[in-house]
Amino acid sequence: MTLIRALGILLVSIALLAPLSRGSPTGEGPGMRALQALIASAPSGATLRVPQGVYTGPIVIDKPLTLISEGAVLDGQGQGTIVRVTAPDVMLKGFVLKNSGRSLAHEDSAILVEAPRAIIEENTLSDVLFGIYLKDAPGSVIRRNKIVGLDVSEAERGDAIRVWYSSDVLIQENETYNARDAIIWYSQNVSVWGNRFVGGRYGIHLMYAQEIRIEENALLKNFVGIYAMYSRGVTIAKNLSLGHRGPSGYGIGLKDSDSVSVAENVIADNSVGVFVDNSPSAPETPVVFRKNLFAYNETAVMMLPSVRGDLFTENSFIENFEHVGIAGGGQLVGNLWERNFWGDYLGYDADGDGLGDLPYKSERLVEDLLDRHPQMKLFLYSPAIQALEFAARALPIFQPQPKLIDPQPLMTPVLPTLEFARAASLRSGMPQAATGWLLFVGISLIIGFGWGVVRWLIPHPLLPSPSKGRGAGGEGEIVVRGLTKRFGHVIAVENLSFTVRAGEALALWGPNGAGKSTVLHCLLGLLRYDGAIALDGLDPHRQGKEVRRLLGFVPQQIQIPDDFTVGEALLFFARLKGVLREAVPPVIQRLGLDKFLHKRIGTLSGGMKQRVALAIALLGDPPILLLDEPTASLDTQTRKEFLQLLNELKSSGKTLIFSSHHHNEILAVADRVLVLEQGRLVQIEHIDGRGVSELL
Amino acid sequence: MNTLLFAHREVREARRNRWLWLYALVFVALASALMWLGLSALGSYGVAGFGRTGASLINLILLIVPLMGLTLGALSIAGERERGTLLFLLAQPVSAAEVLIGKYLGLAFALIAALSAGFGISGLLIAWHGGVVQSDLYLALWGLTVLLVLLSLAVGFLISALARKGATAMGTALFVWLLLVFLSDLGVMGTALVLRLSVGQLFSLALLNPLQSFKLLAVLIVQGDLEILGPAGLYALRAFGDALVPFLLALLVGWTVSALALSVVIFRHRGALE
Repeated sequence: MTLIRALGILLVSIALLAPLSRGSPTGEGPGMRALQALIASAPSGATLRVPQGVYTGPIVIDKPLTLISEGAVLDGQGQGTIVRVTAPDVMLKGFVLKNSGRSLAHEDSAILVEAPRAIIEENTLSDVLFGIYLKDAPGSVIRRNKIVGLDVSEAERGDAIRVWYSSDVLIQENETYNARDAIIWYSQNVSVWGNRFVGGRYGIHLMYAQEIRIEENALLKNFVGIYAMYSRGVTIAKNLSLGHRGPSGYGIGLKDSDSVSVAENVIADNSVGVFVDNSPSAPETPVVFRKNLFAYNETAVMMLPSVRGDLFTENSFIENFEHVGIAGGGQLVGNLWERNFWGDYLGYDADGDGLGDLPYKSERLVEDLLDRHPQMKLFLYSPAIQALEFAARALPIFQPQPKLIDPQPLMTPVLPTLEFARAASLRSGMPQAATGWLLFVGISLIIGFGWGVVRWLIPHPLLPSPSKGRGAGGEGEIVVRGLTKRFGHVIAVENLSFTVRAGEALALWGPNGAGKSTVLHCLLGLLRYDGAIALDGLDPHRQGKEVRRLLGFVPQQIQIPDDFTVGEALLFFARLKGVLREAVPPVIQRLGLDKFLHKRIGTLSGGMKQRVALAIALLGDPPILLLDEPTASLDTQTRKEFLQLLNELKSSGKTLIFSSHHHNEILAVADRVLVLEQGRLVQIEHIDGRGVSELL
Repeated sequence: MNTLLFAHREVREARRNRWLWLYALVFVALASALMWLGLSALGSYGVAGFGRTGASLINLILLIVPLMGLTLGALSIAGERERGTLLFLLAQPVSAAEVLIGKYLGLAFALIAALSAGFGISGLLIAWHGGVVQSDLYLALWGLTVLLVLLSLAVGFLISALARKGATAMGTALFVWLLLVFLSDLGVMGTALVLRLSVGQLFSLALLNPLQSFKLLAVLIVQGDLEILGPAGLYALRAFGDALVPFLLALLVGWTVSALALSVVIFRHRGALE
């Protein structure tokens, strides 16, 4: 009997399809009339295979029919509801529906079902206000549809799926994007299984619903993953709720809901993992959280202080900024926390039963502070917050009352195994990395660290020097008038005046602290001073750089990094002085440094170091040499050699000013000696004058 | 040209600087460990992406990078002044600004290289671990960290130009580090609680600390918005809109340039001996 009936339906279908395949279904009126006429002429219970083409809505299905698309597109042309089902036992499979009306007041939908037992399967809905709307349609099935909402602001969107007074409904393996909610109003025994809700307002929204099972769904980047309001008997199990952000970004929210079981879900990377407001409303209808994983949320569980009757057991709290928060601050009482794993638990398990021997207490000062003063979240990630936390741990006096106590916390986490989760999260697309690119960057950065690029980036002294080498030029005359230098209250040099002619050698003589070095530093323009100094008419104050080009300076002990070789040091300073590269070898030869060019400064004797210093001073052939106790650290023999060098320089016409403690040095080199005592000029004598031998 | 010569010399010196190597090593080790832990923990659910690891990185960067810049900067001038090498350098035909800017550039180059190694090795770890990372965000965070190290180095130079001795400079640098990293935030928090400051006032006060500018930008890079920072974060987004990022960047650059300019002025005034 059944076989004959099925055969009859098949024959009718074939007969009806014949005219459609001849005429064009595309176009406004004809397409709609063709499909509507097809429906009108089909007997109840028939199966219609709708061929490829664009059909315009609205279409009303007013008898039990099975409509299977073979590539048919139903276009609402932006007007009203596209398909309206008013008869029971209608199946709509494989259609593409697009462009519903835009009226929220009229609830313009892609598919509106107003009769029981509809099966809406494998349809693709796009640019629609409401997607699939079950209105008094008990026993219906919504399966494997893909629904993409309008690209408008959240307030103007409709629900992807709306179930209204429709019990015993199955919502299975659908995907929705950018819609408002999948909302279930006033319905019982609804099963929401294996769906994927992305980028909506509430992924799944329950209002006054009862006996609802929500299992194995992926809820990604909505404002709220699952929000149960005023509902009873809700089971939320094995779902993945990720990336719900915003001022009310909840992975799961419960408001005035009773007898709720939340088990084995992965709730991660949300602003708030679970938000509980007055759920349960009575103690006999508890809310139970079991074996969930709360990870990487800002707050894993946020409760209003008034919440009582929640049981948290065998959940794992890992790497949440705050495991449990109390909205607005205050205390939590009347909830049970048993055998959960807490990532920050510091206890131990001596008896090896897998349970900590000390209770876990959630008592963080910072959490308490942020609960009470959310504006302080500005300082999150700031090390100051951690310092505060540390201080609170070290000084328990600052600790607030514990928010909760878990008497026997788990030592190892219980991680739910969501088979679909891995694939879902990979598909969910945190934007894919160009791993190869990253690899390249990493390697090049490491090469950078290897200093490989240093030499390319910065001109090296060994490169040919600029074509225009700068000779110092100048005569070498020095005039000092009324030079005074104070360091705070201490007068280092007072009202000193002297003149040095070009080619003259002047010795500065006096005990330690007499001001000899200070005079040299003033001449170099390294100190501020009162009075006037002119080197070949240049003022060290205002023309420091030019003055120093006229000067070669030899300190008591040369200070060059020990790992420089003599050659490197000479080239460095040659370049610094803008001296031609060709001008360096003569200086090297003059001071007998040829054999030491590759020796490191650190390995040289004191005498050799001073030769290097003199060589550096002579680079650029400056007319004036300033020497600050140049032989102080030399032995007798080396000093002799050094003085010979100085004499040669003097005879070559250099002006020399040097400070010294050794009278033989002064006698050997100086033309005149300038005697200083506590910064004052005591005497100027010519070396051949009578007083000098007595003076020295 | 002299500036580049000094920079070159400084880079060469930096290679022998044990502090720099120590900092670089610590940074590389901690950044890599963070990345590794972040990827290992719950990677199977795809939740341990760069966002989370990046957040821990921000914390690490805020602690270590200013310490690197401030202490190395503080030791640079003051150390040379104490050793006497500065006197010999300044006795050559160069200006004080050339010496200071050259040293700054050299040290900055060395520090950037050290940081880049930290980022590079961590990045390699992620790639090797098959982690999903937004390389553009990773590079943005690297760029921001470079700005932070330039800033702290400039402040370090300012300390160095002011201080007479290496020990004083180091002590001051550590105090400034404490101030920037811990004390100023704690102070602002306390002030806000006692005086019941509005969110806008709190935000403005917090921005006096340049590290907060860095942190806001880093959170913007890693999280995509400032919602995580509560009402003050939302206020910042609303009050400044698209101008927020340029404004914060300008603050960072402004701090760096001002600190460096001031240190040039002070250094020119005081030289090697005063």
